[in-house]
Amino acid sequence: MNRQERTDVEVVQAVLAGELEQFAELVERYEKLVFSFLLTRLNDLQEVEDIVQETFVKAFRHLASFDCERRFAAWLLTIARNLLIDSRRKAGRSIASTNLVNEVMLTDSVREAASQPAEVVVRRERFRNIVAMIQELPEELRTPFLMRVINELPYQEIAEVLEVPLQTVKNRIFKAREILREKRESL
Amino acid sequence: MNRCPENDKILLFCEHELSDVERSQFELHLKTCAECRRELEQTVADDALLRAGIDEAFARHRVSNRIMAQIRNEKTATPVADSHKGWRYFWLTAFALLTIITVVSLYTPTPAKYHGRVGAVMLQALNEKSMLQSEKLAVDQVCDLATVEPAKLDGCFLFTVTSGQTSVFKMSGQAIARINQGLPEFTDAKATFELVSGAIITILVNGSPLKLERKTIIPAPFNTSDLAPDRPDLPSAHLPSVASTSCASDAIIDCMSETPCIIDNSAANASAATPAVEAVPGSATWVDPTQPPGKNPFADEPLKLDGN
Ligand SMILES: [Zn+2]
Repeated sequence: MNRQERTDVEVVQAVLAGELEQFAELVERYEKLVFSFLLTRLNDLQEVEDIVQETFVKAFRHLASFDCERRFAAWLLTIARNLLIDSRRKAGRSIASTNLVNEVMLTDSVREAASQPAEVVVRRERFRNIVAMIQELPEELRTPFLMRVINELPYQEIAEVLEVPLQTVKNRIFKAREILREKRESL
Repeated sequence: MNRCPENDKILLFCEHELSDVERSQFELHLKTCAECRRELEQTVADDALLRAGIDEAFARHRVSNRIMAQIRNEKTATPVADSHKGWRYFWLTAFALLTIITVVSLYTPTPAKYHGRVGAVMLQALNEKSMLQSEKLAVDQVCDLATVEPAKLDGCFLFTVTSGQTSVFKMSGQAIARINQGLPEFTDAKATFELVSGAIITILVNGSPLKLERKTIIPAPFNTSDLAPDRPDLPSAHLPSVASTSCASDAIIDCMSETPCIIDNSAANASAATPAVEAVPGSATWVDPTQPPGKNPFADEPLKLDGN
């Protein structure tokens, strides 16, 4: 069977039946989603990495209790969110994340510096602003917006993953865009 | 600041939420309105920049190899499997550990929690005489209760209940077993039940919840910190459960709460013998537990843009 045609639940079943390596398929499908979900919520990328890893390992350990009526991605985000809350509680951390922007763009700028330094500076500044604006969005707007822009998911899928009605997803993404537009104009 | 009256269409345009007619009209407008054009370009450019920046970060910070390496290391703790071979090893390991633990009378009151709803319920005959649906069940054969329920049982069986952690209990006697609201349920039961290992667990016996008290813990490879509290508040509704090997619970959500739960040592004793009513003739047909599930709840649906 073509791997790409397999649904998440089929892959889950295969893993549960002992085909351990099939779990890589689920990681492949959703690592970026979990990564971007955590990225705007944490201070440093090391921590993002750790929680991404922990999320998938936890999902693996509890795979037998996965409710196949749910979206696998929804379940993963629930795990990630819980781990995030946990880690924040332990560390007493806030969400502020300017370091993250620096870190994301630092390597980027080094990589591009040789070719177009001036443009890179502008791009970095712009990216910094965008991320800062997104971080100020309420979580309920930020998550669907990121899923839409970063993960390029259709509304229907976002609705299923976030387990909210379709129209709510649309409204939230529009609201997020409106707020971002206001902020951009006031820059 | 006065905006172009068409400005509100920009976001709808970006999100492909305009009708064909509206879209054409707005495209015409864009040709004559520099303000809308600029804002549209800006929105598209910002999206692209955000996507590129995060993609860039993601490329450098992927952990898929680490995840798979850790999972391979935890191979022995594979959550549940229909693989007979795997289960044989599991039982060998479990019983070896159990024997050692019993011999040294080791009792570790680690806080253990059990959510109530379970993932998989597997059953296995403990001796050659044990019957499932009036047929002998091979000792080394592991069945998923969900695929055989209602399972008419007569003999001695081990049940393995997986919900994050694994609990194992023994049933000796006769009963009809099924999964009711995520709990193992025994009706027409003339049998005893005994928790062999794992966390405290609630089962339903002849209509009443029965809490099986823990006697012994298998310390590894199970993760006791991942269990949620025992919830004896059982709904009385008698609903058939979903016949799937892994359907079940949201236990994972509660699993990650940090609230420790002390084991209820006053729990009812681990056996129940109730006079049985005549057993219901086994009406269920045998289902191969290894067969793939029919339903696919994750099939991608076409994007529905049902407007406002
Ligand atoms: Zn205009």
